[in-house]
Amino acid sequence: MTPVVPPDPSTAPTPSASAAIDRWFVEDVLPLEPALIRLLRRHWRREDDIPDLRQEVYTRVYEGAGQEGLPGSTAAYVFRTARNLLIDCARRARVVSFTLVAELDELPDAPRNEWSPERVTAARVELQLLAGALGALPPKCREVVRLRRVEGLSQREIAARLGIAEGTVEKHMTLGMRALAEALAGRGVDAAVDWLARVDGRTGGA
Amino acid sequence: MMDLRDHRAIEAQAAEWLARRDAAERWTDADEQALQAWVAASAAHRVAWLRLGAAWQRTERMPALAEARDDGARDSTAITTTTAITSTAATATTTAIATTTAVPSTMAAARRPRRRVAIAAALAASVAIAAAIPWGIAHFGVGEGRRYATDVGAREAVVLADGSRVTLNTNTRGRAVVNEQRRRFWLDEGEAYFEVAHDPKRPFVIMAGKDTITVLGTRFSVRHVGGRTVVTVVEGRVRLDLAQAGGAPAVPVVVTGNEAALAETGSVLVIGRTAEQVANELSWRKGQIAFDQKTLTEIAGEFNRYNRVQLVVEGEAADLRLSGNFDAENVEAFARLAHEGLGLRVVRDGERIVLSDD
Repeated sequence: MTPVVPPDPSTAPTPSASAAIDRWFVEDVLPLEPALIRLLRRHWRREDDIPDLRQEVYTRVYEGAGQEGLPGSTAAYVFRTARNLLIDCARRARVVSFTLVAELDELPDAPRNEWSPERVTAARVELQLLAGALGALPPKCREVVRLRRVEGLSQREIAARLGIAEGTVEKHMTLGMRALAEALAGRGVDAAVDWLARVDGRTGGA
Repeated sequence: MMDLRDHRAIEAQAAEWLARRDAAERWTDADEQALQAWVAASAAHRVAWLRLGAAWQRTERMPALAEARDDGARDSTAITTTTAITSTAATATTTAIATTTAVPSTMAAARRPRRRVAIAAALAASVAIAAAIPWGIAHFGVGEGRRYATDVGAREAVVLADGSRVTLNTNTRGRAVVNEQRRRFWLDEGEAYFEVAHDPKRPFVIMAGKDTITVLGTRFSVRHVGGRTVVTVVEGRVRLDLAQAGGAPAVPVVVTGNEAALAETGSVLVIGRTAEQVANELSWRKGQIAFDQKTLTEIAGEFNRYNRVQLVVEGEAADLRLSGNFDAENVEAFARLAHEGLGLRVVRDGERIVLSDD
């Protein structure tokens, strides 16, 4: 196999190479997030650490792709990176149950089927997901995001409409963007695809 | 934790950049350059930026939400479900939501144990689709209200018409009635975790056997197994009205955050709990069971709630005390660790796993 990016750890990726890696990261790595989160949750007890672990996996995956070229199997690569990170963390943590280390040692080298990237194709599922994610935001934040995205107002227009400062609108947007990313990338796609598969299985196609 | 990079701070910065750039009227070339420099500074910055940006990109389809509501007006089923989901977002919420009965459950998920964990967004999605398609599992039967049930080993979350969320643990049966006058949930058997939407006009009442739990808006769990009711409160206050023998007036007990109440035939014990103990007791919501110095017999009983394969403890091993944290469905792993870690004899006998110390 010819590597897409010449392996040269001493230099940062060139702009065009990093554009290729960006694209790979968004299209191939991010859709694995639900499976990644499940793996982390199953083997790491402190829920608070999960977002940090997730981002650390992404960072290592991205750096690795920059140095060694894009992997043959993205799912296997992300899975291995997560597994190695968990083992590192478990070994470095002062207090850790023997069950955790035992379980991690038993993890296979390659992910199971559930790691195949599935993408939402049905518009109705995507819409319900978006509705659910929007509905889960705190009230003020939800109203700001709704005006921006559903009604299409600019941040300045939203500030005028609601009688609040533009800086406040921006703060709500900041909060909303993080929460939406959590709701959409973190869990929704996977569950929705799962759901869709069951629904379609019963009705003979979407 | 450990010496990981401070990803949370990085994500907050990435979100600030994204929100600032979204205000196109104030965004300058200098801002763009500063952003590019920030993104290029490290892979941690870049992945946080890409992840948030990709999610925000997806929300470009949100305008269709407004259209979906309009389309739904022609179909009474569709409007109910769509409105129920977006009601909190929509300024013109109709009262139709409150008059619908609770949404159908998503019990089909019980067939697929690993994929069962659902969250708000997915739930909202599943609920709407379930209502739009004849589903067949949720149904009305004897007794009042919409019925919900989970199989052994299953865990299922449902959103009621008032926005309250109920997460049913393994082997649980319940019924809900939510309308403009009242909010009521019968926990016929099993365990459920409640996140009750605040509404002082309509107290949320849970009937656990003959015990009654009344709340205005809070988070807590109720377990009703074998005639005994256990209420564990995470946040807020709930009132527990105990059934008295011979139908005497109920005795109210108030349980507040980080307390648990154990009720059995008219008696109640209220116990203070540390936050960690409460978290342990609610760990089933993540598919885990956690023990702190519990006997092997108690632990086996806990595993047996989740699995068809039953753990049996024989001999003096029954009194061994253990702490730990396990995948509720992986009873085999527990048996193996009991063998390796405690030197217990493990014998598999059909649907039984016998642990003993001889």
